[in-house]
Amino acid sequence: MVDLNARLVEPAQGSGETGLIERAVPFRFTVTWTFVSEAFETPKAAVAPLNDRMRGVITAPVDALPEPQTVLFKGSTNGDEPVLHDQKNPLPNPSVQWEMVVPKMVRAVRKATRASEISAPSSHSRPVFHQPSESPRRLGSEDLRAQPPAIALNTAAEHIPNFCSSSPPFLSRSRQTSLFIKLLLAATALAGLAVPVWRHFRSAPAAPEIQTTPRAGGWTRQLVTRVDPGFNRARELIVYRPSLKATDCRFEFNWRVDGPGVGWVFRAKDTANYYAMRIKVLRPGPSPTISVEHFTVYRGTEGAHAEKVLVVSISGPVLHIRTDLAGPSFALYIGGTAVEYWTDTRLTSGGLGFFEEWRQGADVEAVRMSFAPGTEIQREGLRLSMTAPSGGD
Amino acid sequence: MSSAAVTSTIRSQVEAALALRSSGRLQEALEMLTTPGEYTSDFYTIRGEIQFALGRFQEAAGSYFTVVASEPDNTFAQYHLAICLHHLSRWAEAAQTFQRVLDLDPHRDSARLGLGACLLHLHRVEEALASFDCCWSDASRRRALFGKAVALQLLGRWDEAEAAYQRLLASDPKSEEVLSNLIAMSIETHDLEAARRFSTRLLDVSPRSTAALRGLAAVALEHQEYEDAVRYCGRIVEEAPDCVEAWRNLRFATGRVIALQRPELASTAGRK
Repeated sequence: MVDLNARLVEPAQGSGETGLIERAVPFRFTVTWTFVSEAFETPKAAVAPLNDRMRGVITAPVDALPEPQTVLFKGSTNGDEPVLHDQKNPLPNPSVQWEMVVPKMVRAVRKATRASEISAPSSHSRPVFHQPSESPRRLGSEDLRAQPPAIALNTAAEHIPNFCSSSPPFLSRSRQTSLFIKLLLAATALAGLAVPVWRHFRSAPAAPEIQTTPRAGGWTRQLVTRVDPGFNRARELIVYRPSLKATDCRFEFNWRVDGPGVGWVFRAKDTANYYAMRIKVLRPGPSPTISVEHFTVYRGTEGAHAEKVLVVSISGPVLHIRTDLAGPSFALYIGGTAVEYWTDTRLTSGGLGFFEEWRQGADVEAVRMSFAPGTEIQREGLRLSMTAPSGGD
Repeated sequence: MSSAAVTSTIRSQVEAALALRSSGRLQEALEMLTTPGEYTSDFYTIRGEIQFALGRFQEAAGSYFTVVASEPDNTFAQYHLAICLHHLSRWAEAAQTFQRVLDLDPHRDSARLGLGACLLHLHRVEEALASFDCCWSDASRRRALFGKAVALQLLGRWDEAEAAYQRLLASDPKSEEVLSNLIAMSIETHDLEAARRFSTRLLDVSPRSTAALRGLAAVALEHQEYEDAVRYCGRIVEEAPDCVEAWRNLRFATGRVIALQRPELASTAGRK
């Protein structure tokens, strides 16, 4: 605050003979700038984030961090919270796992082949012979599509059948099987194939999913301009054009934690209306301290930034970021752990993408967008991963 | 007590304090945080936050200072220490701390605004202007523009200052502080018409604004409109009884009115 000695008001020299005050005195006018530091006046603004900061020590499970470009939501931990598993072929609808049906189908059939020699080749066309001395195999994408190991062993003990046409034991045994058994087998096989397919197509319209990378096509880059001089045009929005009409969706990507940070936007209608989130590395290391902030730009005005600080334990250089948008509610997951939740009703639809400031782009890969059924998505030229038993590729 | 036990105790204290704070029981939350046996940044950070929320800025600054003494790169603690110092009107120390935050995180506009505000208090106006000019985010846009306008005004760059103020008024036509500063600037530049205009506008927004009343009173006195001056000065002394200038000018203007209306009475009163 600065007092100005205003030069004003020395008017009307009083007449000495009146005996009254002969002259007016200047008023004091002050220049103030409380608005500049108004943000510091609200202690609650500073308090709120730390509440979570103190509790927000995240230990990202190792297996929750997906391999880039191979992520898929599958299963759940507590009925609500989806978990990520490595899987090359995305199966958006977990119920469509027709491979699981095959072993059940043939349990009644005794198999001449020794059970110990075969391990659950349910989705393969030829048997896989066990190496007895071998330790349990590491789960790969193919394994995940097949039965879990425990089931495989049990089933094998129950004489797992094999539909491989080149398996001599099976062929020799099948010759001895009665026609009735064969018919039963065929009918069951058909049912095993038909039921999941029917369930798949009977279900609600498939939720479209898009897998892409920022280097692929479909992204539009737009400068956020400002009218006021003195402000640098520092921010650019990079929005995935086909997602411009997205409403409820899931936006996830892998971020290599080696840059200054990553910022992303959603419900981006234009450069003056969008929601944005940003993660910045405050202190790098194996358990980096990061700040998570979110803010809204609405009608060209950027609202207050809500920020919190977290310590994240990561097992690799890549962090999986996921944002779920459901109506006015938004949730952020880092490495599969929920770290932020908030609501805002102003923007109901808009595109997904990223933002860059000072042309500092983040190292982002394996971008995946899962949209609510019925979402209008521009599909031309894009690889859409619809729910299909054979995966999205 | 072993180190692990101490850590566990501190952790439980912090958790309990957080729970109390969440339910709005700040004082109890603070009492929960007794002095720990060993340093943990979480402990001092949460304590600083609660002290800050309670308005105990001196103590909060102490807590944050403990954190930054051990962790100079802790931008969170540095930033909140700077805010505490700002609240304590320790402008030089606050400016230094805001600068440290900016050294660690050059893109943090909130720290830049704080630095600019402190520099204005320190009369380092050119530096303040530069600080506000460096702000870039939309979130800080209006505040930075305001700071810039103030700096320009204090530098005597009236036209630029007014342009900046006008931009602020365009986005918020009822900004009292902008109008108040414009009144001060108009008075300083002796632009009576502008002073009257902005004062009237401010009075519409805030009918009890003493800044607006002072502006109108000053203009009325300048124009020798003593009846108006009496009216405005009277309202000022109602709103701000400790305004010495208003009392004095009220007496002056009243005398003038009397003198103009009843010269003989004024002359009698003068003899008494």
